[in-house]
Order: sequence, then C-alpha cells, then structure tokens
Amino acid sequence: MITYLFNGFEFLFTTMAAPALFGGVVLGIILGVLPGLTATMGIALLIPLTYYVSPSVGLSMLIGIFAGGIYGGSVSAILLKTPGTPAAGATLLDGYPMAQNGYAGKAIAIATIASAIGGLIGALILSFLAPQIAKIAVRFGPPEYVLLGIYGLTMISYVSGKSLVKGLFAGCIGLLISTFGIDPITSVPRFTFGTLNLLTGFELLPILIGIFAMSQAIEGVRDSREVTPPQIKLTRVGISVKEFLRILPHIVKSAFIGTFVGAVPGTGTDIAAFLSYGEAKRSSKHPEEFGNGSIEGVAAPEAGNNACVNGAMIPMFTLGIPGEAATAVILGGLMVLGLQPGPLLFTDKPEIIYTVFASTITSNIFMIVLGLLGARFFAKVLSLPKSVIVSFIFVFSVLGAYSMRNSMFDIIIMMTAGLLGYIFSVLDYPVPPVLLGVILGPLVESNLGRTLLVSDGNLMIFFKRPISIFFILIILSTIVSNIYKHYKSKRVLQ
Amino acid sequence: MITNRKTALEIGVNVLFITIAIGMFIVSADYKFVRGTLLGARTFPLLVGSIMMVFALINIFKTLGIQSSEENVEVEQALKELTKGKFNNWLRTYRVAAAIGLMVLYYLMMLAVGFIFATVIFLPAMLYLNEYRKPMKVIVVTIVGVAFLYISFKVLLGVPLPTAQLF
Amino acid sequence: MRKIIVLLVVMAMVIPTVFAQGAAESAEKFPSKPIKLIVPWSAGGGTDAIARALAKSGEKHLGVPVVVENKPGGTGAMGLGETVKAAADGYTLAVLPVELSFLKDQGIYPFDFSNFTRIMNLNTDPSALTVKTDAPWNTLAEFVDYARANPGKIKIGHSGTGMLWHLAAATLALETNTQYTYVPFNGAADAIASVLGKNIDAVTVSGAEVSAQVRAGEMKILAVFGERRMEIFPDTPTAREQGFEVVVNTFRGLGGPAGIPEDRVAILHEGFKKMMEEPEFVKVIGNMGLGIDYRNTTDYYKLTDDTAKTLEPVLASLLEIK
Repeated sequence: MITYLFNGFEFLFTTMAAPALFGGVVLGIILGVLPGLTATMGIALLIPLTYYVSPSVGLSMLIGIFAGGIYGGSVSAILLKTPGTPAAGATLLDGYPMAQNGYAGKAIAIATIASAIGGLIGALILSFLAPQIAKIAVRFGPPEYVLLGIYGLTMISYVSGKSLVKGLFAGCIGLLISTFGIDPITSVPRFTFGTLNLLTGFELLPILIGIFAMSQAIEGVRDSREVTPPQIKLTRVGISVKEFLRILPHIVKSAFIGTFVGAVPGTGTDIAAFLSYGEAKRSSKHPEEFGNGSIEGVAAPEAGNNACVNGAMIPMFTLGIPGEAATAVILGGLMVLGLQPGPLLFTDKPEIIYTVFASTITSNIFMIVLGLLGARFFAKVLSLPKSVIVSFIFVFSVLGAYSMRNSMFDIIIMMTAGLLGYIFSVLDYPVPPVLLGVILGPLVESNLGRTLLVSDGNLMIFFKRPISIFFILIILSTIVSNIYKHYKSKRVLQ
Repeated sequence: MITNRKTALEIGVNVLFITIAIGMFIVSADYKFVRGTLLGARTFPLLVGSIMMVFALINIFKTLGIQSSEENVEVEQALKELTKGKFNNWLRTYRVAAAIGLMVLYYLMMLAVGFIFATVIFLPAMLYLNEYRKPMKVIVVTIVGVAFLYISFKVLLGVPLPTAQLF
Repeated sequence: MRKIIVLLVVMAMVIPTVFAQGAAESAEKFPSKPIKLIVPWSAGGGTDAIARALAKSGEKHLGVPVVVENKPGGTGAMGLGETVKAAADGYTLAVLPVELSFLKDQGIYPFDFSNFTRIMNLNTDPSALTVKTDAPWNTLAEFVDYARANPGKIKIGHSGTGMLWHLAAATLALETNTQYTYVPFNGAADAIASVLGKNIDAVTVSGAEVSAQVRAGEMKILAVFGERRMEIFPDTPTAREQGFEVVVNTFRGLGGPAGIPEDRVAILHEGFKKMMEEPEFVKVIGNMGLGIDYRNTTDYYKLTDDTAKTLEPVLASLLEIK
C-alpha cells in the first residue's frame, strides 16, 4: 500500500497533475472567498473541462478546488463576517472578533494552519484507513443520525452567550425555518403557499449571509457617525509556539470529528465545523474567550471542516456513495470519466486512487503555502475605510444570496434574515443557534421519521444499537455537565 | 425611554414568533399523518413550535419582570453615554431605517435595470449614508468596485448576475 | 470632436439596420441564434451530464450553439416553471424529467407533460429491485413469497415519497398484492448506504445507481423492472421474465414550452438526433451507466402518456395508504 502511495506521489509530480492541483487550490480559494460561490459550484463548472485531460489530472484539479474552496470561505468570514461557504459559519464566531481586535492576519494564519493540518490528518486517514472507516460509516443508520443531530443541537448551549433560554428560543426558530418545503417523509409541500420558490424550503446560504453579514452591515451604517477607536494594526501574521501548542490538541481532535462526520453519508462540512467548535469550547481551558476572538475557536472549526472534505471521500471511493454535496458532484465527474467509484476501483485502478490520495495530502501543503502568503494580503482589505467595507458587504450579501441558485427570491430571504439578525443583536439574542437549527433540523426530522418506519414505531431501537447508545451517553454527559457548570457559575456569583 | 422601546421590541419579536408558530399550526392542520402513526408533515413543526412558544413566553415574562430593575437603568445610562445624546440616538434609528429602505430600493432597481446599473446607483447612496461623501472618492470606489464585481463574477468565472426581469 | 459626432451618427444609423436584417433572417431560417437548454437540476448530476454531452455538438448539427443553463430548486419545478413561461419559439428547451408524469397529481408540480411541447426521448433507465448479497432471497418469486407471508415486514428504501422509485416499489406491491414498509431517503445514494448497513432490506432505485455495489458483490439485483434486460447486467432477468408484470422506467426527454411550431420541432428533432449519435455522447452516457434510448416525437408522446396512465392506479393505491 505504501508503495502504491509512493507511486501516486511520483505520478503526481511527474505529470501535469501537480500544476492542476495547484491551480485547483488557487481557484478554490478564490471561489471560497467570494460569497455565494461554493466549492460545489466550482467543481460542477469545471467538470466539463476534465473531459479533455487524463482522469488523474482532472481529479487532482477537482480535489484542489474542493479543499481550497472550503478553506477560502473562512477568509471572508474572518474579515467581513460574510461567510463564503456555509462551512465557514462556525469560523466567523471567533474569527471576526479576532479581526476586529486587530488580529486579522493572525486569524487567517490560524485558519490556514488549522485547515491544512486538519485536512492532512483527514487525508492520511483516507489513505490508510478508508475501507475500515467505511465499514463503520455504513453502520450509521437512521437512529444514529437522529442522535448525531440532537448532539449537534446541544451545541446551542455553547453558542448561546448569556441566556440559555434565549438561545433555545433562537434554536427553535431555526428548526421552524427548516420545516418549510416538501416534508421528507410524506412529501407534502409544507408551508409553500403555492410558490415554487419554497418547494424545497429555504436555502441555507441566504439565511446565513443575512443573519451574519447583512445584520452586521446594518449595525455598521447605524454606527457610522460614531467615533470608532482607531483600528489597532498588527501586521504580524505568524503565531507563537505557545499558541500553536494551545491549538494543536483541538486541531487533532477536530480533524477526527470532521473526518468521521464526512465519512457518514448525508452530513456535511457545516455540521463538522459546528461539532468541532462545540467540542473545542467544552474541552478548552479558556471557554470564556469563545465568541470574543478565541484562537481555539478559529482553529477547531477550520480543522473540522477541512478534515470533513477528506472524510467525505471515504465512502465515495470505497462504496461509491458520496459523503457530502460536493463529493456527489465529484462522483458524477468520475463516472463521466469512465471510472466507477466503489469497492472495485481499488482493485481495478489502484494507480488512480493512490494518485488521488497523494493529491489530497499535497493539496493541504499547497494550501498552507498559499494561505500564509495570502494572509497579509487578505488582511489589507481591512485597511479600507470602514464605510466602504460596510457598503460593499451589502452588495456582496445580495450577490452571495443570488448566486446560490440564481434566484431573486433568495435575495428577499437574505434581507429578511438580515433584519431579523439585526433585531436579535439589538436585543442581545444569540444568532448562531438559529443557524444550528436550520442546519440540523432536516437531519433530525427526516431520520426520526425513518427510524420510526424502520423500527415499526418502536422507540426502543435507540437503546438496542451500540453506536446509538454511545451517542446517548455523550448527549447525557453534555447536558449534565452544562447544567452543573451553570449551577456552579451561579454559586460563584452569589 | 430607550429601555422602554427595547422592551416593546423584545415583546414584539416574541409575540411575532408565537403568532408565526400558531399560523403554522393552523396551516398544517390539514396535512395528513401516515396511517396508524404519529408521522406526518405536521409532527415536527407542531413539536418545535410548541417548545418555541414556551421559551417565548418565558422571554416575555422575564422582560416584563425586570423592566424597572436597577440594572437596566445602568444599561440605559451606558447607552446614552455611548450614543452621546438624544439626537444621535434618533439619528441611529433613522440610519437603520434608511439602510433597510435603500436595500428594498436596490432590490427593485435590480428587477428593473439589472445588477450592474442598480449597483452603480446603490453604492454612492449607501456610501453617502455611511458618511463617505467626497465626490471623487465615491466615484472612484463605485467604478472600481462595480468593475471588480463584473470582471470577477461575469467575465472570469462566468457566474450569472441578477438581470432585469420587469421588461 | 466633429469626427466623433459623425461616427456616432453613422453608428446610430447602421446598428438598427444590422439588427433588422438579423430579425428578417430569423423569420425564415431556424435556428439563427443560440438555443438555451435548461437543466432543472444543479450542475453535476446525471441529467446535467446528458445535457452537457449533447450540447457539445450543438453547433455542428444545428448550426448554432446550444447553451446549457442549470436552474435547480423545487425538485425540478423552478427550471421547468421557467421553461413553461418562455416563448414557444424553439429557442428555450429543457430536459424533461419523468416526474412530469405524476407530480402534478400530488400537488407538487403545478404543470405536467401537457404543458410542454415534447420533442424526443433521450434516455431510459429501469428500476431494479436490489438487496444485500447475503439476503435470503435469490429470485423475485422468493422475495414476493416472503412478503406475502410477512406483510409490511420488508423495508424498501427509495429516493423520496411520491417519486418514481417509490412508485416502482408500489407497482410491485400492487401487482403482487403484497405489503411493504417504504422508507424515503434523500436521494438514491443514502438509500443504498442504508441497505449496505442493513438498516433496510431492499431498494428499488435505478439499476445504474446500484451497479457499483452489484459489480463488487456487495448487493444483488433480484429483478430489473425494465422492458428488457440491462446492458450492463445481461444475466439479470427482468420482472416480466419472472412472471410479474412490473415495468417502471425513468426517462429523460427533450422539450420546450407548449406551442412550438411543428416545422421547428422537426428541425430540432433532426439536429438533436444527430447529436445523440455522436460517439462522444454515446461514450459519456455509457460511462455514467445510463441507457441511451432514442424515441421520435410520436413515440415520446406515447411514452409519456402511457407512463401517466400506468402510474395512475399506483398513485391511487398510495394515497389510500396515506
């Protein structure tokens, strides 16, 4: 196997595959930085181009775009609070405050390092353990998805700020938003009011851009008369060894979480990012810094979502089942090229598989080089006058919402979400729980329905499966430890 | 005064969402269940909506309860200091309303004349609202910005921009 | 300065005449400008691949480029809705999905095939009843016998309630008078994964979608619900061969808004037929494991009408269960 991997590297660097991979990473970063343009879209646009080159070269490019796109989304999230991709929704929680404190370059550097290391760990797991992970991943049935979703919802307690009740209220709003559109079990067009726009419910990205970017921009307009404290300009981009050692354990842990979330079909980078964020906050020695610019809060979700990119390729290559939306597009591309992903690809065309593995590993190295070089340049954006930045965020929000499916309707949704987000921030209601609700609602609802169908309506199914019992224990321990902490902090106050 | 308005807004938001949830209950009343089970298009909205209403009610009672507490007076004082007087505070509200109005106009303009022209008009107006008012700078920023968007989205990446749809 | 004014005046005079000429030409010659081919799904899927592979040789056979435009959303409804509203001049076409045969009855689509001018069929793929390799059944008869003895015990996964693969399972149930529990998934891939993980017993998704698993020996096809055996699995018998009249195919065709003049339909049909015969198109579609199935305009009309008719009782049986 190692020999195969070496051959893969050899092939990568002796053909056009390496330049294609590099180009893919660059293009992916650009797509990711621009709001509304996602890695999935970039891959879909470029697949026709891959018809003309050899499969390994084409695939390397697609993998580069995928990795670069997920990473690039964090840059605009950190600088402008405008997530380039849904996966960056968790990164902005701490990345944006960091940038506002003058550490924009550093935040990008941390995101880069975490993305690359997380991605690298994911790529190594993909290269060496793919068949074994895939075996566990298919054991993940509807009950496990329900519990994974509920576990994700317990993260609300970590992103709620001061008031848990307000956080839960916001989370429920998110869940309600997610119920619009065709119901997953009975296919009733729910709350669509006869418009085709709502048939599949609300798109995630317009809501995400609205509640974070647009609401932020409205605040910017409101405060434009006030004397703002002069922006502290720190040009240093690097991080110290001490800081690196502080984030490293979180990166490693998040990488494992991300890889696994990617490996189970039907979940994506956004879920991986939030689970990683929550776990980092839970286990951090400085949980109070989270939300105000914690370096762990930037590192964890970035490591998680880039590991997820690689994790998502595990079921794609081993089973022929995509682990995530973008991999579904890559899968289609592979088939067009005449490669049928699945168990047979390993025996039939190992050279292609291992070239791909070599490029996933290499893409992370390209990413770290490009990211660290670019960090200084990206951070320059913030030296523009604040009023100009704010004005452009409005335009970017509109474009980002529109580009997802070329729909004017989504612009209205984005604006409404923006207004809601603004009112929430005025009233000191937390916004991230809304997002968690929107992301996790469909996962919980559809799989709860499936669970009841599979078990003939018997809820005991949750207690009969090893993985699901494991999840129940995690969820219980999270809730108990939260209540305990809450109780303890109240005692201290008194 | 400020706190009163904030209280009203907070109660308003909670009442709004309670109303939405009740509306969803009513609309979903005729969605059928899978026979013999509790599964159906209604189940999840009903469940989540009810839970949300509980939290909303807690929020409302909390808001009413602490309305006149000392803590809040302090907040009011702090906010007054931050915004430096009544006039500025009025101006802040006005700006928010203006920004939202401008966005709505922007949307309508996109429908009428497409993204590029709408942005050419929208950007200077928004910059003006943002106290960025030197004519030359505004022109340069607008032209450079629109050109950047057009080139990167339309020319280089081939991604469609909103087009005029009314005519 | 004067030169510029003169230039402007000249341009102002010349440009309209050029356009006028173009307009006059288009009245006689069709097609004279690029044809827009709407794909009502996002880029990267099977339908998208077919459309793009077709469009590649558009210029060669129609004389004008065919531009593929993805309009995803609403399980196809957004793109199809735009097509219905477009001018019926033959310049806006769409890849029409099989869902037009039955989603209007379920209140999901506001339109059906009658709102479209149908030009030709491009592809059909049969549903295939597929189970895990170590499942106790080896033929459709054994499967049906087991279902008869244990009503509702077999769990069949499909890619969405009221979608074609669900109707395929329901057709089997109606034909053999058996009962199953249907478990809807968000797409065929998730349903297949659930069979692999032994959470459900079978899937009725398309044969192309399970081919990777079947070739690898992870799953086995009990019966193909097609009119004939699949090219990729020549040894797997159809349901009809096994004595069950279950035929459910998905198909993708080409069409435009209702009312495209007949002569234009003929021109488009001719051109797209040649595009389908391009070796590169055949290769790409073959690689995807999709079946090419050209049918001319008349046959395509018949196919769509027949499908709607055969699925009617199936839908009724499902609504009863609901």
